[in-house]
Formats: sequence, structure tokens, C-alpha cells
Amino acid sequence: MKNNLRVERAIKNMTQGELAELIGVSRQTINTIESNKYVPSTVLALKIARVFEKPVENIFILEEED
Amino acid sequence: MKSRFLFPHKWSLIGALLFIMGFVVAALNYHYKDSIDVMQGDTTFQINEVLHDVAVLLWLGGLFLVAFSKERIEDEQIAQLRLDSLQWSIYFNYAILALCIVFIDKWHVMLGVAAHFIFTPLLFFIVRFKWAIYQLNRSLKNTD
Repeated sequence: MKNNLRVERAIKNMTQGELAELIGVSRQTINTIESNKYVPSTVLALKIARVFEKPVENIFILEEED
Repeated sequence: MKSRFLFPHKWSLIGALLFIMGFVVAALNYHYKDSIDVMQGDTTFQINEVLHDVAVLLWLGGLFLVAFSKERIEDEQIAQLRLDSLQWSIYFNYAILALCIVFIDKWHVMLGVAAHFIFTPLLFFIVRFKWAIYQLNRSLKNTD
């Protein structure tokens, strides 16, 4: 699974720390999601999508091998 | 996602203090062994026994609090690392135990060694968990 988190953050001009605080996780978690090291739970993915006011599928995308 | 059954973050400090106090009590017990021996009758035995029990309980309680206190931000990734580390520590613990069983032939020596396995699951867990968090923080610094 890949994601557009970094791009979406750039559009909103938001730091990893700000996003982390909004959804109640650590900055490390946002960082590892962005670098595809951690797959967030459905709840967390939905929270992130709500911050960017987009459907989850626009931010998190399944890949061939998933 | 919420981790259940965890102590407040600050309690890990209390845990560390208890753990250190365990060594202090054990050292006192060892140091005053001879002077306690001077006392009469069963009292000697009891004081040593009680101090020994106190030391072991302090170590156990201390390790327990350090292991199961919340992190500053206890989010779902930390919960995942916690679970992974717990599994890892149990695997590792029994692997070491199996090695001890194979390589220690005298059973009374083995019993003495096996007594230490009271502490090792918690100890391995703490080391593995803190190491994972350290690695996580380091990966954050690398990307800055």
C-alpha cells in the first residue's frame, strides 16, 4: 500500500507534527506511514482522510502485491 | 486505538526507582548477613528471608511498572511495537531456557539458573521494546 500523505500535507501546508497532533498520534507514526513502514488502522486512515476532506482511497492506494 | 491495562506514563519512573531499591535491599542483606547471624534462634533466618523476599518483589514490581507504563504518546503504532516485543521476548526467553536445559547438565545448577527466568521475560521485553522505540526515533531524525 502506498499513500499521498506527504503531498496532501504539502497542499495544506501542514507539518508532520501538526497532523500528528490533530489526530492524536506521535510524529513518528505519521513519519513511518509516509515512508510506507507502517500501515495505519482503518480508524486512523479515516481520521487522516477527514483532516484532508477526501475519501480514504484518494490518500491510501492499494498496490499490485497487496 | 487504545491500549488497555497500562499504568500512567510517570509510573515508569517509580518502577525504575523500585528496581534500584531492590539492589539496595539485596546489598544491605548481603552486607549485614554476618551481623544478623549473631542474633539468636530463628530470627536470623527470618530477617534474611524477609529481606530477600522484599528485594525480589521490588525487582519484579519495578520491572513490571517499567514494562507496562504508557509511553508519552501511546498510539496504535506503539501498541503494535508493544505486542511485537512481548511476543519476541517470550520466544527469546524460551529459546534461552531450552539452550540452558541442553547445555547445563547438573540439575541443581539448572534449578539455580531457572530461578532467574522469573525476571527474564520482563527484562527481554523492556530491552526489545525500548530498542524498537529508539530505532523509531532515530528514523525520524534521519528524515529531518
